[in-house]
Amino acid sequence: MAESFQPKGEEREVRLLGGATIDGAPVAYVVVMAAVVTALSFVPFSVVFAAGGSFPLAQGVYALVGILLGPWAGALAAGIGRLIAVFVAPHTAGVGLPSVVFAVVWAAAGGILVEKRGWGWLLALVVFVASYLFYVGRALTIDVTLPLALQATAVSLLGLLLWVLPTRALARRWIADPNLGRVAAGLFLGCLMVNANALTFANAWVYYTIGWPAKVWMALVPVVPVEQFFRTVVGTVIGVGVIAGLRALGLKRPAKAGY
Amino acid sequence: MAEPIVLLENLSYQYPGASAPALRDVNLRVERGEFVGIVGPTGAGKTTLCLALNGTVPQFYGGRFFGRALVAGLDTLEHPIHDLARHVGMVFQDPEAQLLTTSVENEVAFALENLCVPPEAIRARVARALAAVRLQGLEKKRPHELSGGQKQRLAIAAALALEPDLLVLDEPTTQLDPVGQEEVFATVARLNREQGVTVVMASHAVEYLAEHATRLVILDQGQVLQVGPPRDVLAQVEQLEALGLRVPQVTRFYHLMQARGERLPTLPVTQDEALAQYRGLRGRWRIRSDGAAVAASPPREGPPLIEVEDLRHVYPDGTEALRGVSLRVWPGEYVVIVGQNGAGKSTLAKHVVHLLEPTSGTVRVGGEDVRGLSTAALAQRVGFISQNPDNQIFTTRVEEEVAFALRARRVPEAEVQRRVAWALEEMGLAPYRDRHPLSLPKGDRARLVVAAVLAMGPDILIFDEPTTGQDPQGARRILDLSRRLQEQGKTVLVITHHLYLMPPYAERAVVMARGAILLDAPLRQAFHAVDVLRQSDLQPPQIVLFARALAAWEGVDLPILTEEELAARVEVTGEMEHGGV
Repeated sequence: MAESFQPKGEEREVRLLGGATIDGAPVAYVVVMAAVVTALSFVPFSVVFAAGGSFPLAQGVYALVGILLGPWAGALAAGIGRLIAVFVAPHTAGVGLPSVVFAVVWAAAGGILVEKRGWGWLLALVVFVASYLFYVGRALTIDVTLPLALQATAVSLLGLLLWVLPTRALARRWIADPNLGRVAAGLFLGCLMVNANALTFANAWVYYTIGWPAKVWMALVPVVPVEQFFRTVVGTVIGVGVIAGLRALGLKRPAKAGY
Repeated sequence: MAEPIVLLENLSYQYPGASAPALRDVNLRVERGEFVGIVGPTGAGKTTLCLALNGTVPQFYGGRFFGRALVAGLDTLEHPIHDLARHVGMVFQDPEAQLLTTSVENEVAFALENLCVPPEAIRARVARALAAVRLQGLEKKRPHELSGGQKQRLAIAAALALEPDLLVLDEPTTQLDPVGQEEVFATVARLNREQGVTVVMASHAVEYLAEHATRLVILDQGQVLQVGPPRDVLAQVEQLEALGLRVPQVTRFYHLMQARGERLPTLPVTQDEALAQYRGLRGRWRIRSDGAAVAASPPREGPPLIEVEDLRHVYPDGTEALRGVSLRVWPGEYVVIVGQNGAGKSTLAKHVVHLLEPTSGTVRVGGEDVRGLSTAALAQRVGFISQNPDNQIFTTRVEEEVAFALRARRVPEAEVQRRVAWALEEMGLAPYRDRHPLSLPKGDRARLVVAAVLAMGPDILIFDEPTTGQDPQGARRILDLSRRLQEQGKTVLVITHHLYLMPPYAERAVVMARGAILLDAPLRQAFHAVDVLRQSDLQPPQIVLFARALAAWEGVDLPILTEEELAARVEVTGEMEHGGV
């Protein structure tokens, strides 16, 4: 309250009863973010992908959805948005319904990234490490050499490394910083590690169901870093604008939001 | 004493992250069946007060809350919004923003379905609500096919279907043309009068509030300054004008007469009261018929700057928005384009900046067909300020927003800084240069867009509804600037519904209706062409209608446009015929 003004009324405890929430995020926010994911799913982001089709621009914001809403609400928003998109934007549906699961895990990881406490990060780490071992292990048993596998999954390894190092906490702190420059740095770092790990999870699944020959692994070496860079830039650019706007508007902040 | 429908006791509220409270020690008691108008400048706290009545403030926004707010006997801090929604119906400024289904009846049924009202009861309530706002027969129509006034009436029907004890409307008519505005006020007043619905309405439309409200609340900087019947509150002309608020034009006219030394028992606040008071003064007051006359259009020299020839535009859905429009605007002119919602005004303006492609016909700026000009080249010649400021705002700082286009044009940084500082100063936004644009009230965001366009220094400025959502002071600030720019040689086109604001500024008026130009004439002639204006769902300013009534009585020609002009025509000659009113 402004120093010069002393209210006559007694201060009351404000409880946020203003509508249903999911894990502290208003349902309206979940609906809006789901709509954003669906809308961005219409935009094919790349024609080069291991599974052979294009992937949607929405993949650039899955991590951001989790950062904005928290793990559960973020996962729900991304999942609903992606599920609708599978039917209304089939040109970017890729592997179809499994992509809904990828979106859920992706956004949940974004939410876990900004959690201050709890063991969610460890559970996520177990999932990501298992995914990596499964993915690379299966490749080695077919026709991929270890050096090629390591080169093609360098970004995945970087993602795991960033997840276990204090960089995860650093990204969280920067995202919550009032300075928008730090927010941008935090989003870039956070989205990078989330994208890398979530894509490892998705690749493990897709590789198990489709598989691709060693020649494709060679192509992945230069392609994956470029794609991940652009995914991360998309999340960062959109995220900085959205976070700046949300802060300026003074709208209620979801309980587990990272900003 | 019966329990009031609204009881606010020492209510103070501060939004999270805000540096100052939005409401300060508000005390207000609203009895059942009242129609309370809330008037105040931009940022006075009108919207916050409305939102506090259904618990959205503070339950959705959070923040700090002091005192007590009881609505229908329920403490708004202790009952969730969905409980309060059964007692309070809300209608907001933008009718588009609150309609979300695909048919009129579904729209009205939506909230009831969410509250698990049985289907038979829903059907009955939908029928009643639509009848109450006179939208029967349109049940299957798509909401987006309705006119602006109909959309807002539909929003009111959706609120009414909840059978609320209290209907809260937050500036529900600012985006509507005068006939749409009339429809909404007539509907709300009838619901209040005939069905006993209690109404709280924030609005700048003081002429209508004076007509219908039982009490007015004047808010400024979150504080209640005055509460009372419109006659008492609006009579404080100087105090209200000092706050940047308007009073009805007839009130202002009588106030001017009072300032000339006339002793008047009361200041009338409605047209009927004003006419009645004049009747009592006949004989003492005499209207001179000399003075302002309808001038012919001034001769124009040289080639026109904007030339529109036989322009047609058909939108992809088949709507014919422009039907063979031809218009010429000469350098240095100030033209106001008026017309009903959907008349084609904005569509015409968008062709001048080539945001739309003509279906047929041509648009030339400076003699060149706009189709041959690049967007960048056209943007340097024509500045377009769109109706919704948020469509043109995309950076994270006020200063950056103004500088953006200049830097994109590689203007030297020192010049960028100079122009940004000038534009922000002109629009009164200099103190907010480091703020996020979305943290500003809508009126300030509109001025920010004007500042961004101004900084580019275009020769032609097109303002599309620049005064919508502005308080009178904000509107004047924008229009004063437009006049200064015209005086500097710029050509100005203003699209507006707010006819009463234009007399000090525009010289020429173009009246549009249903995609065609009905009249292109000097402003004075156009504002007195009442029949033509009505064809476009417009009506002249209150003072013009009042003057026309006086002219008919006195048998004189009275083509005045402002209260000052009318006061100048009144000669005080002798004693009152009937001793006043």
